[in-house]
Parts: sequence; C-alpha cells; structure tokens
Amino acid sequence: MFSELDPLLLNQLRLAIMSLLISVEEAEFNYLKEKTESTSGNLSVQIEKLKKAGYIKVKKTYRDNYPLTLCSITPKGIDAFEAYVKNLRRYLQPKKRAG
Amino acid sequence: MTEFNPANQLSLVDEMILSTRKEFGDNGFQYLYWGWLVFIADLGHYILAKLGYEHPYIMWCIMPVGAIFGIFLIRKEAREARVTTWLDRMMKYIWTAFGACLFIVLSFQFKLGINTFPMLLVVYGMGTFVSGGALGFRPLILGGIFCWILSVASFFVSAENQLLLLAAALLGSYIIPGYMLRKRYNDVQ
Repeated sequence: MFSELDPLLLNQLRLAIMSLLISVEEAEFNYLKEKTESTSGNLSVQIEKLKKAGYIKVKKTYRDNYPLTLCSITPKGIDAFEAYVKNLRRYLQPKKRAG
Repeated sequence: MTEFNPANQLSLVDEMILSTRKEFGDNGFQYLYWGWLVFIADLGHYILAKLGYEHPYIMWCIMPVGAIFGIFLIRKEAREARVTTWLDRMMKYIWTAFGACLFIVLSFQFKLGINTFPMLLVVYGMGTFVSGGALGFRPLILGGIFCWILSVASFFVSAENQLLLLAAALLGSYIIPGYMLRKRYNDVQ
C-alpha cells in the first residue's frame, strides 16, 4: 500500500517549480520561466495554484519601474515536496526488487 | 495526457535542483575589488613612506571613494539578481559583520593610542575564513588562516613593515583566492 501522491504535484510544471524553489530562498518569475521552459500564461496559472494551496508565497514588487514577481517556498510547501519525493521513491522500490 | 512515471518525475526533480547549482557560485569579483583597492592604498602608503614623503598615508584617501562605489556595486548586483539563495543571505551577514568590525576599529582606534594594525588583520582573516567555509572553498579558508598568522607576525615588526604584511595578507587571502574563485565560477558556467 502506498500513500496517496499529492495531486497538486503530479503536474510536471508544478513539480518543476517546487524543485527549483526548494533549492533557493527566492526566485523571480522570469528565472522560473527560463528554467522550466514554460510559457508565461501556463507558469502564472500553476504558480497561482501552488499559492492557493499554501505551498509557495508570491511577492509582487517593482524593479526599475517594471513589475516583478518573486516566489518562495513555504514550510508547508517544503513538507509537501519532501513527502511527495519520498512517496515517488516508494513507487520505484517494488519495481527495483522485481528487477 | 502523459502516463504517470515516477522515474521521470524524480529525474525532473534532480534536473531542476541541479540547474540551480550555478546560483550557489561566487564569481570572486568582490574579493578582487576590495583586495586590489586596499592593496593599492597599502602599497602606495609604503612606497611613499620609503620615498620620504611627508604624508604617505594620503594613499588611504582612495578608500572612501572606493568603498562607496564598491557598496553601490554590491547593492546593484543584489537588486538585479534573479534568484536569492540561502548562501547569499549568509554571505550578506558575514560581510556586514566584517564591515561593522572594521569600521568600529578604524574609527575609534585613536582613543586607545596604540597600534591596532594586528586587529585589522584578524578581522580580514575572519572575513575570508568564514566566507570560505560557507562557500566550501579551501583557498579562502587557508587565506584566512594566513591572515591570522601575519596578524601575529605584525606584533613583532615596525609600523612600516606592517604595511608589507598587509599587502601579503591581501594577496594571499583576497586577490589570489579571488582569481581562483572566478575560475571555478567560470568553469561551472
């Protein structure tokens, strides 16, 4: 029996965002867009979903009069991400034993 | 819809985490900037003193201008950074502490009426030793220890020769490690 995988992190882009944010303190929108190779629209939607779930914090500010969006992972997000990765590894273990 | 594949998902996690690795590097610019700035002022002072100039310490006048410009560059880099790491925050506190210690000693040393030069080398060593440890970069750690050794030596030499010890300390703990750090950063990029 395996723990239910967090449906929010089943999405590849959301998982990629969380993986990036787990390693840094804060990242701006364009950095996430570049690393995930996603479109602005899709990235915005996924960030909003993660924010609503309380997994990330979003700060909107300005730099040189241009709007700037900064994202950071929350403690809840860290717990969720770590649990997700742990459960992913459990999924792989039975296959390794069979192999 | 793509079939759920745990192996691919873990691979994605690894790939994303690895891609942030570059953000944890230091390009060595600050060590080179401050190292050369103080080195030029220090060696200039020594040379002017040897030439018999009446006010050889005038070389230190480049410090306030250099410091203001250096702080401007630091703030500009921080403002333009697309990502902030935990290491960035740690380094900020390390060098702020360093700056505060240096400022206090330099500003109020006249009240003691003694030569506080060895104290300055202790503080220089602290900066590179701690930052080297945080970066996991051995040349900086060794540079810090080198500063401390020279600090001890500076208790036993004349004020004029202390300037040479400072120049050696800057070469060994800021300038040379700074170039090595830059090389390491460029190799990762």
